[in-house]
Amino acid sequence: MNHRLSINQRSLIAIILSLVCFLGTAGWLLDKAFRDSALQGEQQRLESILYGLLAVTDISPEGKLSLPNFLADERFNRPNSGLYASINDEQNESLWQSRSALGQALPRLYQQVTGKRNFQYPTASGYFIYSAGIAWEVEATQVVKLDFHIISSPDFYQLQVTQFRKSLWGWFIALALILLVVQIAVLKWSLSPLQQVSRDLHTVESGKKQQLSSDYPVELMGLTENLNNLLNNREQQLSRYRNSLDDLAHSLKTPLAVLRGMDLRNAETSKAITVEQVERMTRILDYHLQRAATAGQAPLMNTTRVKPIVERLVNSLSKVYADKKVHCDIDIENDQGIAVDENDLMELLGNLLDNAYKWCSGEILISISDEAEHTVIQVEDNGPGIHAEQRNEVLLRGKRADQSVDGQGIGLALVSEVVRAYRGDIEISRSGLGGARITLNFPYKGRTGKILPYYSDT
Amino acid sequence: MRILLLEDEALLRNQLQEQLQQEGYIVDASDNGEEGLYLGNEYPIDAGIIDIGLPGISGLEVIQLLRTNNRNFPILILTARGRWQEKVEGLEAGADDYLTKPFEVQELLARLRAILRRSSGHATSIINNGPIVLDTSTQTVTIEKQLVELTSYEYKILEYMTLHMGKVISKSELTDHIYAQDHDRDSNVIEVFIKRLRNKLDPDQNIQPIETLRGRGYRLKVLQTD
Repeated sequence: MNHRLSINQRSLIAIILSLVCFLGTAGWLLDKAFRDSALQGEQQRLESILYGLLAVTDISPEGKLSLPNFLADERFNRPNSGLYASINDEQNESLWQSRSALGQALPRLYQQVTGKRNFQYPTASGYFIYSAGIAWEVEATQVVKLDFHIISSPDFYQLQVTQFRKSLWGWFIALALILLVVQIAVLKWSLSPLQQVSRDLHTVESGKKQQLSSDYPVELMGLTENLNNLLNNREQQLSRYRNSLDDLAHSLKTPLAVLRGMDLRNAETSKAITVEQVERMTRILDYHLQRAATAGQAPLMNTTRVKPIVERLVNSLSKVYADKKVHCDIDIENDQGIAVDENDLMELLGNLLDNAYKWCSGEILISISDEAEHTVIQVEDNGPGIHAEQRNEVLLRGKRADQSVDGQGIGLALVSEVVRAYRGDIEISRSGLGGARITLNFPYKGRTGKILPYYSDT
Repeated sequence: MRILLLEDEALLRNQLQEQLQQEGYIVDASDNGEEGLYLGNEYPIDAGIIDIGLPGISGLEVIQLLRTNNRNFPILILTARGRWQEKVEGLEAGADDYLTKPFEVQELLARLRAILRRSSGHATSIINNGPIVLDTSTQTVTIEKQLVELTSYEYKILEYMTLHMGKVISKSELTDHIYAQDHDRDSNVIEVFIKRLRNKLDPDQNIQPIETLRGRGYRLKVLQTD
């Protein structure tokens, strides 16, 4: 079981949580709005009933309260109808109650302030109570204070709220389900390119295809292009290994053939031939091993800082060539980088600097410069230099293992191989210092490490 | 000269040991880092030849540990891969030169002579001491440009003394660096060799290059060039 959630699971959880939050809040707000307006309606209804009751109330000059036996609103006449009225005096003693209140325990009623109206809900008893404190003028000088209370059961209101809620949540749940289905469909649709990548990779893996197809959405282009680059790189590395192995096997055959064809009766020449051919095979092995070990240009490669590597090499070589008292001028900025694998760079610069140390008469200059589209590394010395007619040959040594190796060894041929693995080129010329100048050209900007698109290896 | 040879491949180790002994070196050889470290720390070693890829304590660690122990004899590292990464690491650990396998024994001997000479502060293979000129690469000695015929042991003693010119060298130090450990230390061969050297270098007793300091040893005088 993978402890990481899949993208599907993540999206689903996010959708469900947001739906619950959104619909829950919306539902609660709608419910509250509905209850508020229903309450207001109830208040208005009770208020108008109160006015109706006031209209039929009369007080005699003696202060006697008189109301008709049967009121116009039928619910006041029917016992236990759910609508009751009570008129209380100043001591909160009931002077009159509607017929509907007969045998009914009304909720506790409170004394009212004269001239104020008061709507109470919710109350301890659960009833709606609309009350008004009224100063009733019997004569010009006599005023009777009365409290009118209209009491209504909440059944109707409750019914309304329940019905509203039922339909509200019914719709919301239906809506949530629809949204969920839509979201899942959207999700499937958006993630389908990823599944295609995985299917594509599968076909590449099984060898039916070389590359991922290129019709992916913009967001995946970076990924698929890099994957293609990696595949390309692997393919090239494989073919380099294959070629290397092939070359190695073939180039070993010649010295082996010479050894087998040796006339063993002639000890003197046999010995000479053996020494010569062993030497030759050693060279072949060296060359091909180093060549196969080259990492070469790879996509997503980090840049390697050049200066520390040069400094390490110069310190080491100064030790080895301590007798020569060489001055090596390093013209490289501290943060100068290049998109070459660190080991490869060490191999390149190691061979170049080793040659320079070997041949110079005390002066070496190593420099790097960033041009518009490429990075240039130069190593120069004040030694004897390399003759124009030898330059090509020097770069091919090792490859043609039958050549006698002097001085420069297979170093430059290897450098040339490594540089070519990075699609660069190598040039030998005469240095201003007097000796050889080796120029390496890498076809990309070192600082950014941006690698130009692949072109086929020819 | 006493050489520490650390190489885990038996065939190569025996070959090297034999060739080095033929060249007149005393060889303390081992196939592992632990023993190598012990030999390097306890024996009067003049130079080391150490394979980087030793099992157990690697060659690199041996060099580092020897250097932290202030054992400063020159060291030549052998690498099989020939990658610069490895060479640089070896040199940074304290080695003085490297050689990539496979190599020719002549190359190894030349490098060995070079690091021995360099470690005693001489920049070239030719060491001048007044009229006496010693060439470590050809192992020859001339006086006033006349070649002096020396036996292998005589040459070895003169070379050691020349590389430590002006310093007092005890008899046992000479024995340690010239002979393998099983040699009879009580014999007076050193005295015999010194006597013969004196006769060959200075038959007329004009310059008297080798001084005897009683109870302490010998000293090769630093001579003025004419």
